[in-house]
Amino acid sequence: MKKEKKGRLSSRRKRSLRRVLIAAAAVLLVNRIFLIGLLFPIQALRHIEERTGTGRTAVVCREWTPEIYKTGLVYLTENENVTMLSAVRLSFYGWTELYGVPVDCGAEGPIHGGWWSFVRMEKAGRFYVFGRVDDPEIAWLEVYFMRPDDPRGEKRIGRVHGNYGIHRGDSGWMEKDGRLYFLFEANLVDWSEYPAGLRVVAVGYDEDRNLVARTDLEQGGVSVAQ
Amino acid sequence: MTRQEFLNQVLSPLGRLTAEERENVRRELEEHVEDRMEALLEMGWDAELAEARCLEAMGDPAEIGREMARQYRGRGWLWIGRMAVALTVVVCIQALLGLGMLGAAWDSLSVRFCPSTAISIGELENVETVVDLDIRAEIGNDILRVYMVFVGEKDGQRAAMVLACMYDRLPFGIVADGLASRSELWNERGGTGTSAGGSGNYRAEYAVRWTPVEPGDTHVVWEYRAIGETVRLEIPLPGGEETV
Repeated sequence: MKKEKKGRLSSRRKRSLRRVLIAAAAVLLVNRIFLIGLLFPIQALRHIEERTGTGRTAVVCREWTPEIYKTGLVYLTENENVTMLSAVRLSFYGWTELYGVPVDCGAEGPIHGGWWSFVRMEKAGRFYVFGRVDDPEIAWLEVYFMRPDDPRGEKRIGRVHGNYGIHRGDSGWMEKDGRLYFLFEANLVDWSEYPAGLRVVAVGYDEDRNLVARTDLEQGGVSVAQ
Repeated sequence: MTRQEFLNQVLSPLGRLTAEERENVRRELEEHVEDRMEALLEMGWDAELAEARCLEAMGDPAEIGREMARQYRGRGWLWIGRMAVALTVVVCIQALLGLGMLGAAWDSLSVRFCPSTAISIGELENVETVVDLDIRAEIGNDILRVYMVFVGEKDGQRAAMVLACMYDRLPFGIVADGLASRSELWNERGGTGTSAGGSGNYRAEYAVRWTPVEPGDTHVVWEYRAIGETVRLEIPLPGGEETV
């Protein structure tokens, strides 16, 4: 009786390629069906774009937020109609989306912006103010936090935790595709200092410190991650 | 030289092989010897003589070993293979732990073929008519579909209640959230009612909205405000044409 012909000994390269193909198929399947197992943070950002309905955005800047999550990243992204602040982190399930806070920049206006506090367990946290400046005259931008019981903004808060004024050319002032973006951030020292109903106002000045625009910023959402 | 001695000599320069690779090489060589021996045995050769002849015909074992060692160069491929296996294992564990998410994956299919009619239509009373519709609009990567309209009474006035759903263009894709909060239902006079509810997950969004209508009204308009665009769908009211 003739023996069945055996397959040739496969090389390391062939066997590894076969394993890589199997892994890629498994990753794709799990990504698509379970929406987990994302290998790169940008994939989690794409999920946020889909969920918030912003369409594809481009990254303006990205930063690590170890005080909130050891593997947390916050992105400022943009397209023609939107400026968005998003947070992702690496977990056992791969890169996972946390929050996306889009600000609609479609309407005409000198400043489009939003604010967002990213807090975990009411302990560690960061406060972000972000947006887009469409008025070329604006050279300085300042952000004021106003208590609900202080409509005139006499008792400004938050300034002790950081500098909330920036000038063109500062690190918090970024340019992408001919559009200007800003990102202020501060570590949240005491959450209770930022009460409900807080008003955040952005004020733009020209080079000579003349007032150009003043805009109430939308609260993008207070995220209390568990 | 016995077969064992021959195999040991071949395998001696292959120190950098993994245990699995060594075992594969050993098995391959043994099968090779077996095949050749079988042919000789069929020709009536003595087993011992046949084995000695086969081993002799295979050549210098040290040379075979060196040749094999050349084929198994490149530890990079070995590590790539190992990482791929590790990744596959992790992904399989993730999938097992994420089995609960399959329900949402199913929603992605059901919403496009048979959208839920189990969602609440609020307090619509004395329902006059129910009509199935299929009015669709593309919004970015998503499809908005109006699939049912009811006419009845709400809060003592005649009202039209419309059911809509939204899903990604591709099966299992992610849909934009907030269909209920981003939508309005307008009547012909520019009046609108409140939201009558909504539900959703990453794969499928549902919303129900109502607006007061009067006899003779022919349509209502579903307005969806996406970032960067507003979509309006004109929804014919059942019996509207006849009453006009």
